[in-house]
Amino acid sequence: MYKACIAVCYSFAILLLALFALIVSDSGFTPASNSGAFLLQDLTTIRIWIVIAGALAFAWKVNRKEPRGLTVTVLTVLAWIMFLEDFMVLDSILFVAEHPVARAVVITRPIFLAALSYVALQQWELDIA
Amino acid sequence: MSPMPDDKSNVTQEELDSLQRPSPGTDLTGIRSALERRSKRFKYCWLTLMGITLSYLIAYFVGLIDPFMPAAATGLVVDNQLHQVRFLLAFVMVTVGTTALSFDWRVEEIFVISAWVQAYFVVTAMVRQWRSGADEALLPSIAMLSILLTIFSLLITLIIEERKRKTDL
Repeated sequence: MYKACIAVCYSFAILLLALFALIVSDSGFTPASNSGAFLLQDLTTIRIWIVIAGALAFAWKVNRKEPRGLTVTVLTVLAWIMFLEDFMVLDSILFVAEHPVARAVVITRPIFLAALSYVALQQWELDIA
Repeated sequence: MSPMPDDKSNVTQEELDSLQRPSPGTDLTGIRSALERRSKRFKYCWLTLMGITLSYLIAYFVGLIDPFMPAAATGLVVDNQLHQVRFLLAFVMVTVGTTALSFDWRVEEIFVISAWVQAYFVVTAMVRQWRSGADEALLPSIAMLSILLTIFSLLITLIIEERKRKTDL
């Protein structure tokens, strides 16, 4: 279960990277309003760096066999905050998820959040043990 | 019928003390006693953080900080909404931090998480101000960012002090 959840998290990260590459390269991804253009570019860019840094930090700690409960918890809290921001504010001004990759990101996001939260809880237990 | 053995006589004072000592995570020690066990720097940083939080709350509801917010420069409702969501999240963090300190439970970890969240807020706010700020909005932007950076540096100091305390124990 734990390994499956980690696989879900990494799959979602890859999906996000693919979406980001599409946003950068494809002009079809336009914000729902012109005023949201900066927000779309800035927030997406910052978040992609957080995803890359988080995935690398986790992989690094796994490789070095260091405790990683705190790292995963920080990433989980940030993921939930981003979700709240999107759900409560940004959904209306960002792009409309018509592209299959964007739709896949929207659909798998709750699964990713649940998997990441499970990994965080499980990781604390593993670190203590 | 034989009399019941006197159980108390079999319990040592050390065992009694151990039984009476509250277990970690269930001890509501209160902020005052939690701060007394920590360094002066920790205490002052915590009080400053609470002072900033209180001032921010008052200034927000009075409307003093409106000209300093990104919404004033961009004129977008969404910036105001984003600020409101983060405002709420910041108070959730303050509540969680205060509760952790009261129970003396995983204080360092809670502050580390808060510092990372604050770092996310600072970076996104910085980029937002830089991208959307007009020249005349430079001073309010710097004022707003300096408040966010002050909170961030206070959190870092709290983490360092807590780590020092743990090492000394």
